[in-house]
Amino acid sequence: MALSDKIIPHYTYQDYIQWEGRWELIEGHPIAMSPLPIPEHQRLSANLIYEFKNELKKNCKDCKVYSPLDYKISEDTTIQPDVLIVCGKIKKPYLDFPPLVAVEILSPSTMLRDRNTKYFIYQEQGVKYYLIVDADKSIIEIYQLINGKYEVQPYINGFGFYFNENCEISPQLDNIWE
Amino acid sequence: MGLAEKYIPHYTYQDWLHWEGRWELIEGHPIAMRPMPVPEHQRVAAELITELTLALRKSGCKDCKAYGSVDYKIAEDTIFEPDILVICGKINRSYLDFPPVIIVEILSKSTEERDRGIKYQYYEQEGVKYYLIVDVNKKSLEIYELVKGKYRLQPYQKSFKFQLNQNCEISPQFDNIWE
Repeated sequence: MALSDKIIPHYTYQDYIQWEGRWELIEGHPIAMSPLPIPEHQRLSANLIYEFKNELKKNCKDCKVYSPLDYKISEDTTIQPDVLIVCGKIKKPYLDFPPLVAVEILSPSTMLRDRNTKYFIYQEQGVKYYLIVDADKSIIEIYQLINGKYEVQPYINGFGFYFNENCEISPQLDNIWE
Repeated sequence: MGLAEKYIPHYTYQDWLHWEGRWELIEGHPIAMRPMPVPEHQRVAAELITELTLALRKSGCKDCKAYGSVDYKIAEDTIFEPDILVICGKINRSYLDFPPVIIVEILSKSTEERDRGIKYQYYEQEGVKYYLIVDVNKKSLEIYELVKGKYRLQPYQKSFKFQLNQNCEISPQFDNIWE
C-alpha cells in the first residue's frame, strides 16, 4: 500500500472554494481543470452554446444555456460540466439542482471520468439529457433518462429535447462541426 | 469503494506545474495549501528563520543557508513544501531535488497528521538529517535526528547543536521563539 492511502485529506466544498485556479471536487478528491482544453474543444463548446441558445430563444423563456459553472452535488462533490441547460432560477453562487442538459466534450485526460464517474453522477442526480461529444470521431452521443437510467438515443440532426410542457427544442447539432 | 476511486488521476510534476495557487503533491494526490496558516504559526516561523540565520552567520558556514518554503521534489509524483529548510550546497533548479539538512514543519490542525505521518516517513527515507516538529499550541519543539537511517528524538535545553556537515556546526537558540 502506498504511504498516502491512509492520510490523503477528504476535501469538502468549504475547502474547494478557497482554491485558486480551476478544480473539480469528486468524492473529496481535487481534480485539476488546468491546463485549458485544446482550442478545438472550446470551439465546439461555443458552437453548442450558440445552437442551444438559438432554439431556447424561440421556444423557452424559462431555460437558459450556461458555460461551465459549479454544480454542487454534495458537500464533497462539485463538478463543472462543459455546457449546461438549466430551467429555473439559480439562487446560489453555484447550481444545487440538476440541469436539464449536461454536455461533456471529451479530452484525453477526462474521457474515463466523463464516461464513468460523471455518467453515473448525472444519472443518479436526474440530469435528463447527458451529451458526450467526441471531437475525434465527430459524433455526439445523446443519453436520455428513462425510468431513472440513461438510454442512448439514435442521433438525428434536430433531435427533440423535451424540457417541460412549455419548452421543447430541436437544435441543429450538425452545425457544431463547422 | 466510491465510484470516483477508480478514475481519480495520478498526477505528476508536469501536471502540478500548471496549477495555480499552492499545492503539494503526495504520491499523485493534490494536497491544498489553503487556507494560510494562522498568524501565530507565521510568527513562530519568522522567529525560527531568524534564529537559524543568526546561528549560520555566527558559525561562518558559507555553504549552508536557511530558506522559507521551497518546492522539494522527491519524486515525479511527490512534491512537498516544508515550512523552513536549511540547505547546504547550491540549488540549480527551480525546485530542490536533493535532501536539505534541516526541515522544520510547524503543525496546523489540517497538517498535523501528515507532518507526523507521511512527511516524517519521507524525510527519514530521503535522508533529511534533522526534522523539527513545532507545536505552537503546546509551545513545543521536537528535534528528530537521523541515526542509522531512523529518526531519533533528541533531548535538548534551550539550544541544540546541529552538525550540518564536516565544516559546519550551528547551535541556534530556541528559548526565545515563544514570547
